Amino acid sequence: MALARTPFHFYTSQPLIELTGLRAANLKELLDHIKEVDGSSIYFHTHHYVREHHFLSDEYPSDFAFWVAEILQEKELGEKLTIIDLRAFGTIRELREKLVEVIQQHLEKNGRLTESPPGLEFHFRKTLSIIVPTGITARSLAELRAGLHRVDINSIYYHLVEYRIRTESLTNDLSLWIRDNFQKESLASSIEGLDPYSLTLEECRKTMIELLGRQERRQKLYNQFARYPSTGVAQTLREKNWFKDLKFTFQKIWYQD
Amino acid sequence: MVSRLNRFQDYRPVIGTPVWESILRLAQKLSGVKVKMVNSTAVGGGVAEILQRLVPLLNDLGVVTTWEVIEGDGEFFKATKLVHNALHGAREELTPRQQDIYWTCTEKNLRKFNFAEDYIFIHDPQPAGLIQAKSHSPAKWIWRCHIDISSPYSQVWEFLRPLVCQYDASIFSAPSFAQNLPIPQYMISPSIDPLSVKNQEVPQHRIKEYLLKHEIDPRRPILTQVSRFDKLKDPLGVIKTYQLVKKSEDCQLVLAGGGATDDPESVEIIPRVYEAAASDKDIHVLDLPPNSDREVNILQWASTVILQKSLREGFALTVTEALWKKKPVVASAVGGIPLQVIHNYTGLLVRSIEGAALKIIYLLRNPHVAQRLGENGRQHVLQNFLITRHIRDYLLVMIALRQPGEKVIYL
Repeated sequence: MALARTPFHFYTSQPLIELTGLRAANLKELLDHIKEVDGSSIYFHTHHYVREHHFLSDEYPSDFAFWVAEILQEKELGEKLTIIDLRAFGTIRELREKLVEVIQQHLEKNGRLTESPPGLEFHFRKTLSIIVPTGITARSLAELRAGLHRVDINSIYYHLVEYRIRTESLTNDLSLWIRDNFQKESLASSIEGLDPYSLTLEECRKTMIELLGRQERRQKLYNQFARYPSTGVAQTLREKNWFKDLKFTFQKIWYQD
Repeated sequence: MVSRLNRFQDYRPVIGTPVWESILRLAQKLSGVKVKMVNSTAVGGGVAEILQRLVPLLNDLGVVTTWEVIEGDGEFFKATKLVHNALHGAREELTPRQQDIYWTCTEKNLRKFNFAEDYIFIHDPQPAGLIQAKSHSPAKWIWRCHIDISSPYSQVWEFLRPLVCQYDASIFSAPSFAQNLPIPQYMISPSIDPLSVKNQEVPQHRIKEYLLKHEIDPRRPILTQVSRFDKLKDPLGVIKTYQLVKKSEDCQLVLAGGGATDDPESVEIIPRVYEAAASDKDIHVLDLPPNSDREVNILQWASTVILQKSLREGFALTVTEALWKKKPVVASAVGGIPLQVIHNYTGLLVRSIEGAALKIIYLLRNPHVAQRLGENGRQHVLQNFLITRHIRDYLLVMIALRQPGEKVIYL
C-alpha cells in the first residue's frame, strides 16, 4: 500500500454566529450594506445554507437569493443571485463585487423599491469559525476513505468549502494532498469538481468515498498483475484458472461503476 | 414531570456518531472549566426548561456547571415582568420606585451568591444587575437574552443597556434581536431535547385515550396552540382564528397552557380566555400546571395543525417541538419563529388572524402539503435546533471569549 509522505489531518469547522445589528428592508439598503459589511458577513450569508439547509440547498444557495425571491418577491433578481456560481470566486472580495454588480444592475433597470413585510427584514450576521482537529488522520487513500466515513458534516464542509475560501484558492486540501502524495491527477480533479453548492454535503461525502473506493480497486488489480513477470502472466492466470475471475472484476470496475 | 437525566452518550443514536464526537472534542478543550448559570425561575417557561437539560449535560461533558435561581418577592417580579413586556415593545415605564425594588432585590441576591467560576451566564433581565459583582470576579460574564428585544421601549432599554454593556458578551436567539452594543452579540438559537418526555413518540392508543378523557374528538381535525396564557401569545386571537376556520372546515381548537412563577399576568388572562371559549364546545382550554410535559407531548402528536399566533415571541420552543413531530405549523412572523418556520418550506408564516385562518384551511384541504412541510420541519430541527447543537454553541462561546476579536480560531 502506497503511503503519503505527510499524513492528511481531518479538521472540523464549528461556526459561531455573530449579529451585526445591520438590517435591510429593501434592495437599496441591502446593496448599501453588502458594500460595507465585514467579509465574514458576506461569507456567512452565501455559505451557511450549505451546511444548515441541506433539504433546501438546491433552490436557493444564499440568504440574499432567498430573501430577494421569497420575501421581496423579486423573482428575476432572485434567480440572478441564485445562478451566481460561488465556486468561481477565489475570494470573498470578488464575490462581494459580483453581488453588488447584479443588484445594482437590477436597481438601475427597475427603479421601484419593494419593502419587506414587517418582521422579515434582512438581518446581517457574520460567522466566527473555530477550527478543531478531529484527531483522525490518513496516510493512504484507503485511510482517507475511512476518515471520510467517520468525520462529521462540518469536517466535509471545512475541507471542501472553507479551506478554499480561507486560503483564497480554487482547490481544496483533499485534492492537494492526493496530488502531492500520490500523483493521482484524475482522482484529485474529480474531487475538485464536486459542487457542494448544488449537491448536499452528504452527497459530496458519498461521491468522494465512491471515487476513492474505485481508485483502490483499480490499484489492487494493478498490483495483482504487477506481481507476475509480463511473459508469464497469461500462463499463470490460466494455470490458476483466474481468467474468469479477472474478466468479471474488469467488467465490474470499468462497466458497472 | 421531569424524566430521568440523560447522559450525553444517549444522544449518539439521534445525532449520529460524527457530530456527537465533534462536540465531545470541543468539550475536552474546556475540561475542568467552571460555569455558573443564573436565572429567575426553576420551573415554568422555556428558560428553566432548557437549563434543566443543559446543566446536567454540560456536567456530563466535564464542564462543571452549577445553576442558581435568584430570589425575589411579588413586587420584584411585577417590576421585572414590566421590564419583560417593555423589552417586547409594550409602552410601560419602570417607575423610580420599581427601579429601587429591582436594585434592593439585586443587592440581596448579590450577597447570596459568589462568582468564583470561569464563566457566568446570566439569563434574561431579571438577574442582569448581578453584573455588579464582575469587578470582584475572575469570570467572563455573558448576558443571555431569551426574549424578543427587536423593538424595546426606550425608557426600559435605557435602564438595562448600561448593565448589558458591562458584560463580556451577549447572546440573542434571533438576528432581529441585535442591538447597538459595544460587546459581541452572538446568536444562539434555543433548542429542544429529543429524549425528553415532551418529545418522545406516543402510541396511538394513548393519544386516543387522552383525547377522549378531555372530550376531544380524535376523528376530527385538531388545531392546537400550546403556550403560556399571556397577552403576547394572543390566545384570544387564536380563538378568533379558529372561528374563521370553522366557517369553512369542521375542526376543534385546543388551547393548552399555564402560568409560571415569574408571570403574574397569566392569572389575569385565563378567565378572559375561558369566557371567549364558553360558547363553543369544540374549544378546549386546558390550563396545565408546570411540568405537564407528557400532556403537551400527547396534544402535539394529536394535532392536525399547530398554531403559534404570538404577537411577540422569544424563540417559541413550542414551534420547535411541533416541527420535530412533523406537524404543519402556522405561525406569526415574529421573534425567532422565522428562523424555524421557513415560509413554504418548513411551515407557513402569517401576520394576521385572517391570514392564519386562510393558511389553516389550505393545510386542512391539502394534507400532502402539510406532510411535506412536516417532514422538512423535522430535518430542520435535527440539524439546527436540538439540545446537542445548543451545547456545542455554548462551548464555542466560551472558547471564543478566550481569544476575543478573532475571526478564525484554530484549536
